[in-house]
Amino acid sequence: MILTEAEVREIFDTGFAAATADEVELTMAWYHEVNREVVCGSTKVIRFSNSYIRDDTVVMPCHPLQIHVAFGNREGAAITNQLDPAGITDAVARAEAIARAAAPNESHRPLHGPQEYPEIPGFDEATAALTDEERHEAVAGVIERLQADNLNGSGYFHVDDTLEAHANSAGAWFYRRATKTGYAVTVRSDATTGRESSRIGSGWAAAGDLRRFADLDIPGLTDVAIRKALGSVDPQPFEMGPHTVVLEPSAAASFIGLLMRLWSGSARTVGAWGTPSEAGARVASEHLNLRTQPGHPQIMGSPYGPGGMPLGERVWVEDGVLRNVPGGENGPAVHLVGDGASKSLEDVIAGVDRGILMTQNWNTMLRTIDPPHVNGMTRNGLFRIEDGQLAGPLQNAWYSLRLDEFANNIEDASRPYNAASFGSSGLNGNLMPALRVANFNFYRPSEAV
Amino acid sequence: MDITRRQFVRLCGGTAAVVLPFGLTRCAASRPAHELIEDVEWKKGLADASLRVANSRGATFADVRVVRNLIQTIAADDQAIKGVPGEWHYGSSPEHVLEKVDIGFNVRVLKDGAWGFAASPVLSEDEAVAVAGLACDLAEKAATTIPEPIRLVPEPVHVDTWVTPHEEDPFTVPLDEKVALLLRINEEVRRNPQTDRAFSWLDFWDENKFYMNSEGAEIQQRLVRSDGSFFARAHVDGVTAQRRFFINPLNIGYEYIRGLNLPSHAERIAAEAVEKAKAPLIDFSGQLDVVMDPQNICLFEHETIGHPTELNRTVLVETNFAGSTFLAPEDMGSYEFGSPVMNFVGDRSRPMLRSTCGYDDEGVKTQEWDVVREGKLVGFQTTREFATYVGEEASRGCCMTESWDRVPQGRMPNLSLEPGGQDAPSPEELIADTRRGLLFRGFSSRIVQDYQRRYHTYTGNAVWEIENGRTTRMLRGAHYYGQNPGELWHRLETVTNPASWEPAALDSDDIGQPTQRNHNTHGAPWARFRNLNVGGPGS
Repeated sequence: MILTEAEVREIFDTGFAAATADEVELTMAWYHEVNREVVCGSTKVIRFSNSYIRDDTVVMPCHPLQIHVAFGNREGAAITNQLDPAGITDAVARAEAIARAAAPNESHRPLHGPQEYPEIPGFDEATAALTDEERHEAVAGVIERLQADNLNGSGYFHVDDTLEAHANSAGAWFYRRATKTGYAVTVRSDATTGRESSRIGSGWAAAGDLRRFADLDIPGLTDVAIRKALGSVDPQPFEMGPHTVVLEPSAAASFIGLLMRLWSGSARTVGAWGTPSEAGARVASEHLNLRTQPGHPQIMGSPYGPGGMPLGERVWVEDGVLRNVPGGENGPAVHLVGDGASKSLEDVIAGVDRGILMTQNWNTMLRTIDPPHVNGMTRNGLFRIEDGQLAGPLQNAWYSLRLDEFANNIEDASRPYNAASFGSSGLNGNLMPALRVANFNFYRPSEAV
Repeated sequence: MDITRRQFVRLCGGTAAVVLPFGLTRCAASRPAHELIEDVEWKKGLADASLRVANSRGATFADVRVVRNLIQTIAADDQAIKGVPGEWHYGSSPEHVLEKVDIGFNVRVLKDGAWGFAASPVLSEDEAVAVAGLACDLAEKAATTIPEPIRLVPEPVHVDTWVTPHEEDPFTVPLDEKVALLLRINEEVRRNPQTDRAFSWLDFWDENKFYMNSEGAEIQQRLVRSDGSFFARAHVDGVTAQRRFFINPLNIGYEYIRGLNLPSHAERIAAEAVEKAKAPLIDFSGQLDVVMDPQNICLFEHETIGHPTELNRTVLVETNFAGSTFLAPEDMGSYEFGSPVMNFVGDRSRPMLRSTCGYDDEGVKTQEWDVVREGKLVGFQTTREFATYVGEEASRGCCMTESWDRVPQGRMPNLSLEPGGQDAPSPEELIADTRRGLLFRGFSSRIVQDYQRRYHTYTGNAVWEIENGRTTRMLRGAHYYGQNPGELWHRLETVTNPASWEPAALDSDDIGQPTQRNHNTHGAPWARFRNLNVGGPGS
């Protein structure tokens, strides 16, 4: 069972009672280690490949307790998932031993007191109560279809029932339950492996970070992936160089994520760190709008921000102008909504006389900070656009361009869609627009499928 | 083994299991989990409770892992002690020394030809029974989608204990001492006035794994890992450059860290950071001879050999996330991967290497095998399931799980490029024998590669020009690139002698949904590739 508010208070009380430090913070929430996300709660995953279920897994509720302590400005931390009194006391002692040994942290910040958090209901009882049979049925139908059509499908479907809680010795308190679900599927037109697979088709579709299973359209997403897979069989080479490209929301999301890091100054490559842009600067064409909105009805994200501070709405980019610099006092660029337009993805495609539709991408990464040079490659469906219509599959390709020029070359945007993209947890879903971008430079074809 | 509830209670320390607050069933409060995890007999009782359920439900195979991971990470950013990059809720780094304890168990069953898996952090008999029953339920459902039952190759039954050989337990070394070491390194780096940042870190793991399966295997293992490193950053005339000191992470105790004398390397690394910041950008694009040191080859072999020969990728299991490979199972024994001096060995048994242990996470005794011999693909990385895909009669022991809450998967073992014979050149002789080329030292994560590992671009942490057998000046922005096959390993011409072989390793390797980390070594000698494609960042 997920811990109730009263149970969490009791655990935290044990932690506070065991501590001798000047400051104590106790947190139960998901956290992200290098290449690994840890869920606070339960997680249930069905993972299928070659069109059958490989792993149907259930991890019973686990509530890792994060302990931060400080003696003056000497800080220490420990994590334990053992919540009996002995486990909590041991972890607090570890954190305090570390703090005593640590060098002073000159940038130590004192604890904040009680805060007011916006009410954002993120818990859906029906999703939390989803049975294993219902989870199985949700996937079994699409597997049946994939098998019947001799398609090679791989997918990931997860349902998490989670908890966030925080308290500190200055009186702060936060508790919130949330459910989270998502699905991603890759369909290949057949099961050819290795070098012979370069002529087959592959398609991908996903939705992530949803609160309600009822909002997750597994058959519909699978349909999209199948259409892309069958539509991209026998991809054709195309001329390398600049093209007008429409990026579907998931593909656009990887560029927007890099842009936010660039503007915040947190972008980095090995040995090079960026500097923040200035608020008020024009950083993109007028078609780009971005804001953080945890309470958006399609997000319903947590109002709990870094250090336990409330996370509210904030406009980052308005009509291409940077209104607030992400990070620091302004908070992180999470729960992103890229709105400002009403047209659909299909409308954006219809507006292109000659161009390319990129459905997904891979390895999109900053290579240099100054200038902000990006490259990466297309994946799971690249299509020619002629006279506003899709006009056949193209071979995957590497691209190379300047990120600042990309932002200024945005010529059109759609309304926002759930833009699940790969993260270490599998799926992260912000609401992103499709983007039409001019002079998008491809430099090398690829046979990878 | 078949224990009664009364025996189980005795194993719990003589008192009945009790229900503590928060619904967490525990053995007696006098036996907290961190004590139980050290009690092998108690863990046998727990595992047996699960295996009996699996057996009674008709599972053809079942196994249980009881796992405790203890992790300590300490980092110093100049003279401030911090955490390592990571996120504790919305982006902020921990900025603390971190110690983590993570305890739990999992049950995997093969029933009706399909896998089921369930896991819990609660160590109790009731939970062991419930989790095993759940795993059986899940397998039954998965089986309705299976075209053919999953089959496992046989493995002898092992009953054993295995511990990473080490002299000094890293977790018993006082924190004060570790903190002082890091601050000293950073102080030495910053003696160079043209450096503007020093960053150093230490990372220790202690993995306690108990494994038991329905065939009778009972294996208790303890893996001890020690890692650390540092870098210097220089800022000269508007150019920032970073140079890292690469230690080779090993499974070993703290004696390794003591023996490295890390501060003694700080002066050279700081000077090379400054030299790198002053270095011109490469202005050449074409083909050159390339010499790589073991720490540069490390990432190159991980991506170009390691991932393509993961058999689970080859058979499309990872398609939805990490991708597949350009190899097919039928390539084994016939595919010409590279030149005749290219020999790759997979292993999980060579002393001190990162993936080395006694047994993998499905009870297979670890071993060593050829992956590439004289340029030809001769082996894949397999588990008891995936060995059947290439008609092999035994697993190579590549089944791994990072922690109690992650499902076992096929993972990359140690995979190393073999050195030449005793008459092969030393690294110095190799450079002396190179008329014109580039020397790449250390890996850089800024690589380009597709999801089938066909095309690759790499750089190094530091790159020098070689002219007439001598390294002359550093260059910035140099990359090498090429298509796999043909343009990379076929151009391998010389590998250096056995004395030059080093157990280089990456910081991390992740796979799966949800992702799991992995530790492995990619040892290598120095090597020279003839006429490799080289160029700037846009390569």
